[in-house]
Amino acid sequence: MITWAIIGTLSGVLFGLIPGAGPFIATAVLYPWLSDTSAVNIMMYYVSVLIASNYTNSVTAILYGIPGDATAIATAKNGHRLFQKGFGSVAVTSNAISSTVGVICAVAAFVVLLPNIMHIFKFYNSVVQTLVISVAIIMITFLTKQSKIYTIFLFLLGGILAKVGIDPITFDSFLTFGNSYLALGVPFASVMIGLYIVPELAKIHDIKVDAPKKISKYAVGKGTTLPTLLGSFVGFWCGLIPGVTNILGSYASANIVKRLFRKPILKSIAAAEAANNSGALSSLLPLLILAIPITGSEVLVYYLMLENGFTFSAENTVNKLYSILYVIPFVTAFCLWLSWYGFNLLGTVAYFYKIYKNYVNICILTTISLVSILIFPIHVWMAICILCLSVLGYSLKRFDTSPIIYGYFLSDLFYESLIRTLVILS
Amino acid sequence: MKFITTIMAILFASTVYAADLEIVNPGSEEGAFRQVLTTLGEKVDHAFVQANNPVTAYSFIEGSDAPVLTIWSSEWPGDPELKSPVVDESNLVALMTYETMMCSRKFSSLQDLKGKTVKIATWGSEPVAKFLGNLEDATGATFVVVPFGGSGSTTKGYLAGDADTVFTITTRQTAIEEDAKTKCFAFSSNGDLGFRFVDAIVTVRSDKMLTEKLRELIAMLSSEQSWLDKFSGTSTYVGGSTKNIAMYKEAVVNFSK
Repeated sequence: MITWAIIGTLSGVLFGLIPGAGPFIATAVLYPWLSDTSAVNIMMYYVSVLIASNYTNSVTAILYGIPGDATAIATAKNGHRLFQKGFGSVAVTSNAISSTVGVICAVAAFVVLLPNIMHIFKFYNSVVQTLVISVAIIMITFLTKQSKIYTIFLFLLGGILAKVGIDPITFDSFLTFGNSYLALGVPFASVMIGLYIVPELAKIHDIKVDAPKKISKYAVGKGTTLPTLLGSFVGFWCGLIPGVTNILGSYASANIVKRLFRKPILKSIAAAEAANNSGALSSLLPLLILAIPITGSEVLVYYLMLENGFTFSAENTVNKLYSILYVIPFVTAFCLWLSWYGFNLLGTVAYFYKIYKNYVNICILTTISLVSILIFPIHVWMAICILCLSVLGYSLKRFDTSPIIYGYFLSDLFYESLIRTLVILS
Repeated sequence: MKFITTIMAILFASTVYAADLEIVNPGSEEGAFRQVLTTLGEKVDHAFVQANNPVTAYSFIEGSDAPVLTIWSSEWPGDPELKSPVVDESNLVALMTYETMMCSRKFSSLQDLKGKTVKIATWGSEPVAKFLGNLEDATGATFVVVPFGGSGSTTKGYLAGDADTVFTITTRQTAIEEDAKTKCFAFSSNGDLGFRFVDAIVTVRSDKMLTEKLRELIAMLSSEQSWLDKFSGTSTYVGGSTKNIAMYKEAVVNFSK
């Protein structure tokens, strides 16, 4: 189990640093080896990947303004701004510490809540889910600094892009015009690359990056304790909701903090990162207790563990997987050490990045796009989508395009929840 | 803009790729189809395609040059708006039948449903709606369907209290009975419910040897205890025998609009 914790941690560090990769790719790459090991080792590996990647995806978010995955968007927005102002060290340190607190809070909540877990799931019915998503949409719309009209437009654009294709329940087509490629839908990776990463890289192109400052002591930004605890709490509950998970948890926490606290930039990073790690771990509960994977990477883990004869239940989780809890503190301590110790090294990388910004941007964009194209079965369609959306994304570079991502992510979930809610309340 | 154009030129040049076998899943990510195909995929070299619905899955199958392995529900060929691959003796690898059940935290038998309005969590698909319509006539109940996309989300929704009753496949029985107040009272395997899912595991563009190899693989796997545990409540019939083809065609007719 220790070996798999080490492999998982290293894998999480690496794939967290590669934008667009994350836990799914980290698990998929090692699938053949994982299928030959026990269920407890698989879960140990996956938990280590989740923890480690959530530390390092924020490093690319802070240094380059590019989130390692969708969970680090809030950190990319706020952390990179601090980095550009020369306060990257505080952002990274805050990220490391708040992530650690998030893990500790999630593990504590996990232990406390496990015996009564069925009551938690009873709370999250479709009506509550619709309310949560509605609040999220309202927050995204009204907490933005750009014109609300633009935000609403971008959010709707994301929603429309998500709806293109075939409805998985009714099989009705939407905006396909009889075209077989459009029937496949617009892949999320192409939206993420074209409409978020490209405009962000285009913005970076026009921005001067100061030489990074080195940190010489282990310091925490002022006033981040409360936002960190708040983020841990919000993230944990968001992590339990299928589809919402830690992606919305980190965004919601950052926005709540922005609304409630003065000088909120650093505090919002702390809240987002605590929520991110806390939510990543709590999202395992529906899988472990109800055998319901709620993220793509959990699906892989689910099948791997089933293949190894594991039966998902509260009893088995306690009896067979409890030992993982004893290893988590060591994984977390290592990640905390790495994200602090590695900062100066990453600062050097950032300076290198300043000099070779265009080349590095091309490499990053090419790598993410190539990985996405190779993973997607109809390669040409993914390439076309990335190309078209990149052109559109470039033309939108003066806007904050993150509402498109949330529109894409939330619209289907909201629509399906709303339909069920109307039936339930009828 | 120049560097984006450069990148895209590189990307288009890198899109030529072919796999020996493509496994196409027309079901949801967390559903039973995915479970079966993933189990098979672990034993053969393949590229996996998660299509999420039969329309997209058919597009993938049609657009590919490689041999394809997929599962096709007998619900779909009866829908004139859906294109389906031909299922015959040459390409049918195996049939899987999924027994269904009805569970509730409010009712304990089909007789209890008489004259009641029942909020039931299940699939939003047409054949299930048709079956429930027939059951309404037989029991005197009125079903209000709370629609979900697959067996996984149906289970989650029921446990969260979206409905007081659930109609789903028996492989989900353990998860559903995690709710202590729930009783599973009607099963298709006992003849209580006249509805079960019949799905064909088929190849497309495969040569005879590959199809035969896949049949042997399923025959071996389906006799193992792990398969029986994982897919409890299902039956697997290997091969393209006349009997299996007839069973599939009969299910298609039953599901037709």
